[in-house]
Amino acid sequence: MLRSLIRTATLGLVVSACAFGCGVDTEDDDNDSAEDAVRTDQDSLDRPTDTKINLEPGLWHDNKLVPGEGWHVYHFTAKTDGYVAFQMQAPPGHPNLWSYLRIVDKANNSQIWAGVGNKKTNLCDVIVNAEAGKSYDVIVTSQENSLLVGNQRQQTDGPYTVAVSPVDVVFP
Amino acid sequence: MLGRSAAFAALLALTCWVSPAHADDIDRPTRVGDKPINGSGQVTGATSLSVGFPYHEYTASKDGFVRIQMETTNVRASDNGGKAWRPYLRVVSVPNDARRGEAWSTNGQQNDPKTGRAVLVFRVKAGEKFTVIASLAQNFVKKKPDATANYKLIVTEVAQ
Repeated sequence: MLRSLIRTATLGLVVSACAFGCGVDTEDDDNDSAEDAVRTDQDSLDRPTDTKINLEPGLWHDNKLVPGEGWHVYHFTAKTDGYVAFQMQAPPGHPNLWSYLRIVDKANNSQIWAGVGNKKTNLCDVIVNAEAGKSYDVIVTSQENSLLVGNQRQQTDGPYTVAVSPVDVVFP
Repeated sequence: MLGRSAAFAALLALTCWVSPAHADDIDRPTRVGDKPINGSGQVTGATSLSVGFPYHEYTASKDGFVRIQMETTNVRASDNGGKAWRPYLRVVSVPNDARRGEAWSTNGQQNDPKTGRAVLVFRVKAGEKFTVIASLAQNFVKKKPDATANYKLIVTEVAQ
């Protein structure tokens, strides 16, 4: 159910973003409609590639998304309570890598944050009120990958940087 | 002949009267024009079987951060087996010179049996406008209005 919701939410978010002017081209000329089974030669939202990297506040990680490995998951365990910003940045103007982040609170199994990047900066910024000791999955992909359905082949091929940083904000 | 036409016209009028004006969806939310949000504040509303994806226009009043909380309660206590419907909150930036194409969403959680809650936090600059869609996870999954609930949006800005 949750996976279905996540997948639906992902697609819906992107479609909605496009409807509001993002202008992503959802056409995939390389789609092989002859195949019916889900591809097993590339990762996905349900099967992201685990980087096994624990994000530490203030430390940036450079990496690359390539066709077949277009979903990376990082991990973050908050040491203190407070707001943190998860950020992903890719080169502005990149033809097939528009930054996209999902932050999953596994303990609650129901809280999901998602953000899509600013086209001018290609920077995606998701702010979360983290709880000390709680672990979060930080899923990095592209808008293009998040739009894929069925057997469509990943096209995203480009570098990105991901980080988590404390945010100095207190709400009354 | 005249009688048949009159009967058809009456049937058409009845159909229009009993049918909702339209059924919206997440890509075509329904604007709640009389309840904009300007700076910190609260608005309340309800989803219905004809309007499942209402949205409010929010305009930031200061540079800094904003927290938008959405709370849901049941219209009838027995709805959804007595548990509050899980909210679905989405915010989409209205494009301007410096900002475009951003959206955040969360499916929230059932805070307690009678209340669902969702929270989004993001950076704003004074004058920026956003579309705030207050829906339910149930509606989102079904891709149409499917449940009714009362909702409250609580907007809190902090200058930076």
